[in-house]
Amino acid sequence: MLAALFTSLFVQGLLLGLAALALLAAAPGLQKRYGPQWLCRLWVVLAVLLLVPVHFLLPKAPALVSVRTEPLYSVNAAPAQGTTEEPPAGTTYAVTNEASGVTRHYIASYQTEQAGPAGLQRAASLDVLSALWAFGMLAAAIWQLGGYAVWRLRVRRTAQQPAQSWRNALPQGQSPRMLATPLVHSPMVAGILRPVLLVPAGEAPHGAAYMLAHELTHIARQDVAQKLLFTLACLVHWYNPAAWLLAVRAGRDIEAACDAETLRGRGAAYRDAYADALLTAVRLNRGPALTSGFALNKRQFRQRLAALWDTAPKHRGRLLLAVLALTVCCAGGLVACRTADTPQDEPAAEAPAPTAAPTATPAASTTRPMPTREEMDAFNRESSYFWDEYLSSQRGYIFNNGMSNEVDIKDDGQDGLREVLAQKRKDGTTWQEYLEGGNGILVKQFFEAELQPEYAYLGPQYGEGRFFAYVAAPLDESEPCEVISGWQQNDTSKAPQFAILDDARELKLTNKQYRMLLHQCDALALTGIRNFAGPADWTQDELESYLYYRNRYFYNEADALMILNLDFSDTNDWNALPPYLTYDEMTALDWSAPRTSAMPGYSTPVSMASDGAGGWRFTRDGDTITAEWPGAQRYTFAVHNDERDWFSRTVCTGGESLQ
Amino acid sequence: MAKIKRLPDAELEIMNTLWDAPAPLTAAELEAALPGTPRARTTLLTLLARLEEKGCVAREKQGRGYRYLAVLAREEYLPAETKSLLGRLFGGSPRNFVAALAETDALTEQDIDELAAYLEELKKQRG
Repeated sequence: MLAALFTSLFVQGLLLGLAALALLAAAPGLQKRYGPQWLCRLWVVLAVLLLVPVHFLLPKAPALVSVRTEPLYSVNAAPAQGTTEEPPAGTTYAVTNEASGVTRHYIASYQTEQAGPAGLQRAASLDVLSALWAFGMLAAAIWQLGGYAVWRLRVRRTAQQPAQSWRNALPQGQSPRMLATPLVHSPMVAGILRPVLLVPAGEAPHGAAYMLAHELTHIARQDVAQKLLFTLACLVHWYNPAAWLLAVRAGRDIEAACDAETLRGRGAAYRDAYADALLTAVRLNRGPALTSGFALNKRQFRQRLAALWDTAPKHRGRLLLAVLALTVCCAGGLVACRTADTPQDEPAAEAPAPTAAPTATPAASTTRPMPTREEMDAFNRESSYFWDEYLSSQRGYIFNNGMSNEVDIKDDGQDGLREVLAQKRKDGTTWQEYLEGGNGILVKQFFEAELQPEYAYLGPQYGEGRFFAYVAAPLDESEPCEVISGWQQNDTSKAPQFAILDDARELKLTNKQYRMLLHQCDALALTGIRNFAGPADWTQDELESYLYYRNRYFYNEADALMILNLDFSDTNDWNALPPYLTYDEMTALDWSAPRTSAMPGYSTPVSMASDGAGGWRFTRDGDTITAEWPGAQRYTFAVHNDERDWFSRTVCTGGESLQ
Repeated sequence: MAKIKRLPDAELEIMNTLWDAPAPLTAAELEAALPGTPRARTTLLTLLARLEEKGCVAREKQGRGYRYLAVLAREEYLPAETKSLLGRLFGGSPRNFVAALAETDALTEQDIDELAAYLEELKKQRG
């Protein structure tokens, strides 16, 4: 945040500084025509503009620098190279499992990505600069304000009642707060809210009346406040010479304006006496100097004296002042002079290729405003809802990467959106009404669903491949997200292609064959069958146990014939009665619970839930696969390939104990 | 007299009042003249006793009570006021926060005479 404030002020200061320099160069001519009071007004405008960090305070104002928040890369064009530096904490990322291992894909902001790794370093040095600026500003502020505070304290402690001659020198009818102190050598005004007129200790010198008149004009014109304004501008822009030059010029013009005001309507005699009083004050101030940034040198003091005789009427210059003020505003980048780049409208990407990285940031379109904080939160909630809650309730599939983006419900180009939105909610309103009322956002969630091999035999509803679904995410955290559409097939023209598991590739099996193999081995080992050529060699208990364990992979929906035909024969006729079972024997089978104990030392490896073989070792020789639980058991399988992907499987051809 | 040290606020207030007064004051008059909330008589007397010890104040008997007067002159005390640590640190200058009459760089006697001459010229020429 400090960096943003600093950048805003820095750029502003730079541009306004240039404008100030131009005006300062023109100042002598402007003073002749418009007078010092007019110049003071101009300088005050500049100082105010320098002090207000417009871009920082109005985030919606077009920034000089715009940042795209949508992902840099789309599905079709992954980045040619990624940065290897860690982006700042909190950057969205997702993990993908690829052949080369686990990769983290970060969403880099467009600007950072363009700048490359160096861009991230540049961001760090900006922080250093901002800290330097803040430190310099604080140090200067403490120095100046500290000095002033000490001085005021001393004045208070050494304050006396002013001599009567000073009181007599006050103009008729004026009685400001007046204090005498040995710390000042000529009259001065201090304080903004409750101004106090400070006069030297002792009797008033010759010309005191004119001195006091000058000081009273200072009070009337609020000159102390103006000087404070310029001092503040110099503090904030302490590194900018234009600010200092402006302050110095402003100081001179403040005094000149005060002179002009005091002399207004007065005759020549008054003016002569006033000039004498000024000179007396200069004499009195000789000694430990009243050091300030506004002190005049000899030449400038001559100019000031000469200006007292400048009685030519001045132009009001209101129009010019307004025009200059507006020009300076534009020059300072405080008014929109160009529109910031708007992000390109990327069409909602198709479901990603298996190895592409998923994203979680909403894509901004040219017609859609930036999402609000609430919308972003809802979007993130949708993501965790979909991947953690919804999909875990869907059985029979392995789910892979998916992109998601927020949907503009007015976009009629979206497939099936109208029908989905016309559906009624539980409370009777339609989703269209709900979303139009700003109660939530609609997310188009893409995902890839790969059938578990067993589920393919149970008659799936959705098939497998790339899908999308519409998910409604309420802005209210307490309301749950809801998937409001079915699975919509995305891109039916291509057959689904899933990333092949490493272990499957090694064995030259499809994913389905490999997964089935794992499940078969697990069921066999859990049943504890050791030496056999086929189920004909098994006892009834063993058969029932195997069916029990194996059916768990079929979501308890398969029947004995299907399981036995799938696992031990290469027929595709699931209802065929195997040769080792009679019909009566088959109906007598009770596999509601396991009857045998597992192979000693075996339990289902935890990694199997994510297709990890655990302790199993597989080797392939021709069309035979040997599965070994080292030191304990070996099973052999024949590879059965079918042109229909889900009929391809491994068939168990025997088991042999190794113990 | 011992080296004059900076006086605490309460004591300095009394000194200021005494300096501003045309004649020595009784304790009652002093109490009335002191700015701010009136202090207890005992506090005032304690402060006066301390000032007396420091040699800043003397008292003279008058009738039944005493009158107090400042022995330490204002000008004598002033240097002590400017020697505080903070004052030395900051320089104790009002810098840019006051509006004065004629702030100029350090000018020599000659510079000022030149300016005076210039002023006379202006008066004559411009009338």
